[in-house]
Amino acid sequence: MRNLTSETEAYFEQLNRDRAATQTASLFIADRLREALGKQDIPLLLSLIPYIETGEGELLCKYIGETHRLLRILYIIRLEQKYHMNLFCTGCPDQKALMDKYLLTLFALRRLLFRLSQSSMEEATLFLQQNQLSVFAVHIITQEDLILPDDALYEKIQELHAHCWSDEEARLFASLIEHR
Amino acid sequence: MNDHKFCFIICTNNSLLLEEAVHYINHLYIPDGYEIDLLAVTDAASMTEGYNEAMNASDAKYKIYMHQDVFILNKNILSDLLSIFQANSQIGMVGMVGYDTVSADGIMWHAPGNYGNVYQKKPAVIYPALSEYHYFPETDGFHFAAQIDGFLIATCRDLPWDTAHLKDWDFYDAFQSIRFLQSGYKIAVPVQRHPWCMHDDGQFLNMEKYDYYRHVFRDVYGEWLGKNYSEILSVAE
Repeated sequence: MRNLTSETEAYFEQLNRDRAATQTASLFIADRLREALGKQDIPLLLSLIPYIETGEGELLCKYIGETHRLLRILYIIRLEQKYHMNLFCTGCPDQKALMDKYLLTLFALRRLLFRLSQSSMEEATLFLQQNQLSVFAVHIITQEDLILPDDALYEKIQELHAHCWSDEEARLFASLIEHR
Repeated sequence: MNDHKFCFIICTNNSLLLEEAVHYINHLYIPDGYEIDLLAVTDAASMTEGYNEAMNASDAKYKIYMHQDVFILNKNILSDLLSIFQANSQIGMVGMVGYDTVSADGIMWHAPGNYGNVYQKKPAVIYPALSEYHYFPETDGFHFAAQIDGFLIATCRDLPWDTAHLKDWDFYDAFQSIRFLQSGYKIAVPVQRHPWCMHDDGQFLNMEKYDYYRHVFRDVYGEWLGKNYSEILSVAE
């Protein structure tokens, strides 16, 4: 039988040892985001990916949940840049605006999934029409975040983006969700 | 006290999350003859102070204390909660996730017997549409618990939250669970075939002060560590 109390004490001792480094990493990321988003310097922004994945920022993934969402956003932007699409961070001058956009997008997708009411669906639809998402943004958010997409949700998303996704993007999206 | 009223109580520091949580509350079915109210506490010094302030300000018999990042999926939750409270007059508190024993290390989710449900990314069973959510109190039932998770706590009795020991945002749920049991009230966790709530907490705790309050909990309630809810109830005042 595991000695739970010892494991717990060990966890919190490690947490205490990591506290200063975690705070330093957190400040570094905040500074980098401020600078990169302020100048819309995408290479600088994307330099945070290795910092978080394998560098000193790794601790943040262990202790701060929001880091996972930030990393997801960075993955989205990296793919959007590679495929010359509109970037998720466009119009987001700082970290708060970026994280708020992500949250509101997630909320809208959930509203479409849960179908609480007609007005709830309409509000979500309006938000998504005003903030056109790339196929990568939709795919990564629905596959990685706390939402369980069904076929009806993906059909609705495809319908909403029919006018802004190219045929190639629509095919890419169909392929991505087919292999989910 | 208005015994046909529910009051949602939320301590908040994020208007986006609050608005979304309220959006889901606004879609709940309200039982005939009942009304609902919402108190959002925006400048609380601590969770317990915020909850006490709202508790004292509300005349609702039924209070639902919840986090700003909780989205209620079960549109019938109010009538379902009523059915649980009415099933056993000793029940004073209901949670969505609970544990029948107080964990030896003070961390409630380390306790062996856990009950309840919460929306998950990888559920064992695929969730149906919300319109197909149904709870049958006689057949689905509920479990009694020693501790419930604070992301959503419904009560039909007002007991003050422990501001003497708790000055921050941690362990208020563990303390309040023991307080209810010591006062002779049972704590129930409904069997949820499908989760009644989503708790979008980023799947991580803010551990800043957590360990400090874990030690406080162990100091204050050390006699109950490792004990079952019935053992605590048996010495109720």
